[in-house]
Amino acid sequence: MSKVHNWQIGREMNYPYTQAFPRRQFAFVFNINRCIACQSCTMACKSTWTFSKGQEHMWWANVETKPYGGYPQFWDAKILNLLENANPGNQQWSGKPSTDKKKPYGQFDGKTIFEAQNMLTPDSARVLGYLPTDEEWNLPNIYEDNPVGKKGVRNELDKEGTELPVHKTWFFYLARICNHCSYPACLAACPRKAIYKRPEDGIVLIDQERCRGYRKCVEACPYKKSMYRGNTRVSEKCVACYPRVEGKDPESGGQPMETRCMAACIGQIRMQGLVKMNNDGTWAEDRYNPLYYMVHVAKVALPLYPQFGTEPNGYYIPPRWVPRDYLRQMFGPGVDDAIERYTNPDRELLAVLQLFRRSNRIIFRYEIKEGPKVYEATLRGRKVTLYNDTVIAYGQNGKEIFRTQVEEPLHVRPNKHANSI
Amino acid sequence: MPFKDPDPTDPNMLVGVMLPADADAMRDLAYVFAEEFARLGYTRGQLLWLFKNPFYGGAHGAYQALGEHETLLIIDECLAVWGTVKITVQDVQAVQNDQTPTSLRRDSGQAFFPRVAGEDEGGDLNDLNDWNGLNAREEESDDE
Repeated sequence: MSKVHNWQIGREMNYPYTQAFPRRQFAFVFNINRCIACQSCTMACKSTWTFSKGQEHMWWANVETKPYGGYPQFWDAKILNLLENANPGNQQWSGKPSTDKKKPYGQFDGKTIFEAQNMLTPDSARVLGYLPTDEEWNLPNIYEDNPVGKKGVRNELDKEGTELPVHKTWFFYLARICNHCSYPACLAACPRKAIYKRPEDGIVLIDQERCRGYRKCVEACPYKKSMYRGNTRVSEKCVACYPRVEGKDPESGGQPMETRCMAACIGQIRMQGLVKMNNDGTWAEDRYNPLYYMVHVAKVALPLYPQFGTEPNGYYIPPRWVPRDYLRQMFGPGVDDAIERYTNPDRELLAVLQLFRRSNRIIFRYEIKEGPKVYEATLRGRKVTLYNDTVIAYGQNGKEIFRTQVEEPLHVRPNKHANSI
Repeated sequence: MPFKDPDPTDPNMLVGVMLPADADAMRDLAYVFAEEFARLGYTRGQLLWLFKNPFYGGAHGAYQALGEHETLLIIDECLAVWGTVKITVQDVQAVQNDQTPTSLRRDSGQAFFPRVAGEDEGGDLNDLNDWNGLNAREEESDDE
């Protein structure tokens, strides 16, 4: 085991390989306040990458209803439980969120999945994990928002019609893809060294020629985004639509383009980018990159289960209506500050939030041109001032991709064409 | 359709189980609904109707927990900030003649509301459909 620095948990940790970082890192921000679980991302991915025989159970991109949904079922509850059993009562954070880039969320004092040796079976295993059952993989949104038939009657919908179950609880939708982690558990666990992280963009891929289908990656990935394909007997995972990210898609004109799941998002919750990396694994200062701004300046976007220790590169703006204890467990101690800033956004954050999904091109830099004050008022004891600023997005080649305004135009279909389909 | 019925003794099966949320969480929930729909141009009456309607499970849950008085206070507070939206609807011909984009306007334009100011109590789904032009197709087909 090597010692590597994991800035998301604010300390050094054990990892089977020495640390090495890409020049740029594939990363994304999902604003799950906006997600409506329309599954457009899910189907965009499915129809692009996993539509073949043997891939029926694979959903590289999925959206699940939290707290009770999960694909595979109970994935997060199970790994959290394993970690708790490995280190009972001590899976805790200390310190407070700060401006220190080496520990922005404080320090996680518990055990990561790489450090729970006492729970590993067999002893040669490198990562704490488990293999989901076929049943857990097979039904990605079971018991979520689906209509059910009469109780006790299998495989048949209610002939007289029925109502959706009333949710007597809070819930939210969690959209997920592979996090292309900086310390991937799948890569750490592979006995064939078939998994690699690309130096140019940090995308984690499985070499299909080297893979022998031992499923150690499936077992190790705490997010369960590595999947086994029975008919080819090798494992597969999200490839981050790398031809698009490389700018090789015919539509891209040679410029880096966002993945299919990002581009398909009608809720405009998703933004993907390529962030600059320092040699020590922290993000290089890139003040006007929208992802850098949201993660390191405004700090509204937080990693998913940072305590697992893989340093995931997917970041989430937490849903503001969900009880905080649950969110702190899911996104770490930065939750309260993130929700505070998202609920009361400053002028720059309001403008940056308008950048989501105006284009399929990856945004490398933004610029804000100040506009007039539209109005001001008071909400929950705070002054709200809205400026109609213009925000301009630039691509890798420095050329403008688009510009948009804080006051979003609302287009209403004329009566004659209320529904053109 | 689920393959099998949920097992009520399985702690992972949370379907239909009450997960307690404190009053603050319910208040946050109410603010989220009131803000989001106020920004879509809902009036006071329409917002209250939304909270009272069991179809909107989240909003209705908050309404039940907080009561009508507190819900109305939240609605009024949100409307004071976000409730100034006026939506301008332009028909095709008008758009062709007028190059001004159909947009969200606060102070000008041809405001189109389901009810005029002061008569905004008790809006219902048909009002919203009228507003969005969703009831118009039926009328058109009758003409034909």
